[in-house]
Amino acid sequence: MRGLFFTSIIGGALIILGALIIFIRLNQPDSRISLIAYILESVGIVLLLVRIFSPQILISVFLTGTMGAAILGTDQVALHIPLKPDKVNPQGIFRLLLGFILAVLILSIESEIAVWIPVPDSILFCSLFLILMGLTTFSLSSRLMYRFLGILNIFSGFQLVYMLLEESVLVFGFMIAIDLLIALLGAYFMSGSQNGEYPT
Amino acid sequence: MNAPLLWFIIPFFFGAFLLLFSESKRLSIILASIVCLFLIAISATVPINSMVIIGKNSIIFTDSMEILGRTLSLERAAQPLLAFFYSYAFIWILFSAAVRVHRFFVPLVLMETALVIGVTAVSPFIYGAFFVQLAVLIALPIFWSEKMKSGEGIIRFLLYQTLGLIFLAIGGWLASTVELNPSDQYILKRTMVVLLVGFIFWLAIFPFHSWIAILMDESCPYLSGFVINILQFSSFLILLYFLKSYLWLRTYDPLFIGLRMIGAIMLIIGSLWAVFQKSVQRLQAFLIVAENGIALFLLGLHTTQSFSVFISLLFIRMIASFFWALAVKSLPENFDFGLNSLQGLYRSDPFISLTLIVSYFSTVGLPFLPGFPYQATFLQLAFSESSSMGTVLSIGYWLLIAAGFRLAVTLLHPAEKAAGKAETANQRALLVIGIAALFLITFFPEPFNRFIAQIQSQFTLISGG
Repeated sequence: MRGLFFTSIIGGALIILGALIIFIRLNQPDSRISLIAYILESVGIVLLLVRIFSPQILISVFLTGTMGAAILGTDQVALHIPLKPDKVNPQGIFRLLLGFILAVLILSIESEIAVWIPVPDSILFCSLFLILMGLTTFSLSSRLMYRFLGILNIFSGFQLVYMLLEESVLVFGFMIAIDLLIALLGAYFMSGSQNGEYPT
Repeated sequence: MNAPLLWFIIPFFFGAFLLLFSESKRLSIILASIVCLFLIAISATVPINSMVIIGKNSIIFTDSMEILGRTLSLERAAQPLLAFFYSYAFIWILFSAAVRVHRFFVPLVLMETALVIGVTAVSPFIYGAFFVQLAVLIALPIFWSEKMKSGEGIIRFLLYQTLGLIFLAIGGWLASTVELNPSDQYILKRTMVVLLVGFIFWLAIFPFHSWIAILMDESCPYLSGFVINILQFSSFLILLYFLKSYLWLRTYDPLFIGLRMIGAIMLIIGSLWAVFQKSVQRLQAFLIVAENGIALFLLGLHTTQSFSVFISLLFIRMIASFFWALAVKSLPENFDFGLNSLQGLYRSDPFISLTLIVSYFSTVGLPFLPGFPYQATFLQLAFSESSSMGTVLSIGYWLLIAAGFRLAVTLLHPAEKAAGKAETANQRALLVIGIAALFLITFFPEPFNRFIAQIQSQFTLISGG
């Protein structure tokens, strides 16, 4: 049981880390690190739900997240260009701070929402954090890649809670289909865009 | 054989199958039309839950099927609606032969129509919200490839539809918990707010109404006309199912007061914006916002008469919007939808101009056009609610009329600015059919009224009839 408790903490931490990385790296031309962060989020979701769902469902969730990142990053494959860590910059620090402020805000309202949406606190927190970070990422970004990562984060946040509320295979299938279709749509939109959406 | 398989599963997959033949527009139109006509004929002649005898064989035509533990069910009472949906799809498909549309448009119409049937069939009904989201997602690639501007409206559309789905799905779940204990005011109020936010995103309610104008202004009018119409209709359908399913919701007075207030605000904002628009597509978008306001107000009145007017206006709007979309699509290829560029269009393209004017005023309701008796009843009901409400709503209504007159004056202007002759002989014929159809509904309203009564009979719990 103790091990399972730690999986929740690690899962939650991975989700927060993933969402923050995507938000901090907003509008960076090379979005490969952000896509890896999105995969980290889905690993986090799996760890968070490991106590509740069967391995089949968890594998489906993980594969959806990974494939979503792969589909969205179809045009981002650039093996000849090494991944470089970002330099610390004022915008990044400000976004990190904003992320923390949002986390505190969520902590303050979470107990109120938990009264009417009965899911474990850790899951509700991660869900709200993903939705808020997704909205913020979407609103502040001008690049299609980050706008779609924002929408995917919003949907992942919803999925995290709704999976616990409605335990229906049909709904789960719908959510997976919608997740993948949004990623596919993002890849399609970017493929026709001349907005410098590719790593250089 | 069962009804959901026939009207939902088969047309959806047939639409997907038609994508393979989309290179040949004529073939896909013929095949899709045959499917639509077949489905219309079945819905008009074979009652659901009956035995069909073909030669020595018999088929029991049941009303439901199970998918992954959930039920899809179409009752006999839904048959007029099924016939309407496939007739609607049929005219969009058939008339697309006369205009230049994306090669995937015809399969898309079939798939979207099937998904809307799915909204009416799925149980619990809130899963219909997922069908609507799927309908949005399959339409967006075509929107993107046909876009004329930056595509901002398309991305906003996706975001707002996704947010709407999230709130409605959570709200649907909360509504089922309220059903267990309706006296719990704490949960009840929060459920109402969550549901309201969901519909704010989907029905382009102020302040989240901008997407509809941006989307219509930057995409193919024929495509956006179909998708927005069918999605707005589905959103209203889900709202009606909410009201039909939950007694506590139907008896919760603050909801109806709220609907009336929101409706009035939407009418005022939509009509005010409509007056100042410089693009025909944006004008149509704000007409939709204003008409959504009228619809919500009528729903908020919660009487048999107001419900009848609500349903009638919804269908009239769908029919008139089709001819509007056809007329705008008949304009020259590189037309920017600007009202200024339409000045004096009547001289070069009289049929397009007349169709634009007639379809706009059919929805808004000028005398001798289909919307008139219903809009007059709406104003009468508004004044019977209260004189101040009546005054506010009639100001909004007159602003809509003013926006229409502005359009008419521009089109009929003596100084011609519009670029050349655009309408072809085929388009002229179709536009004449459109104008005639709208006048026919006005002068021979009996079949239309009978149809509305059949639809209304499904929702007697809401209308109180």
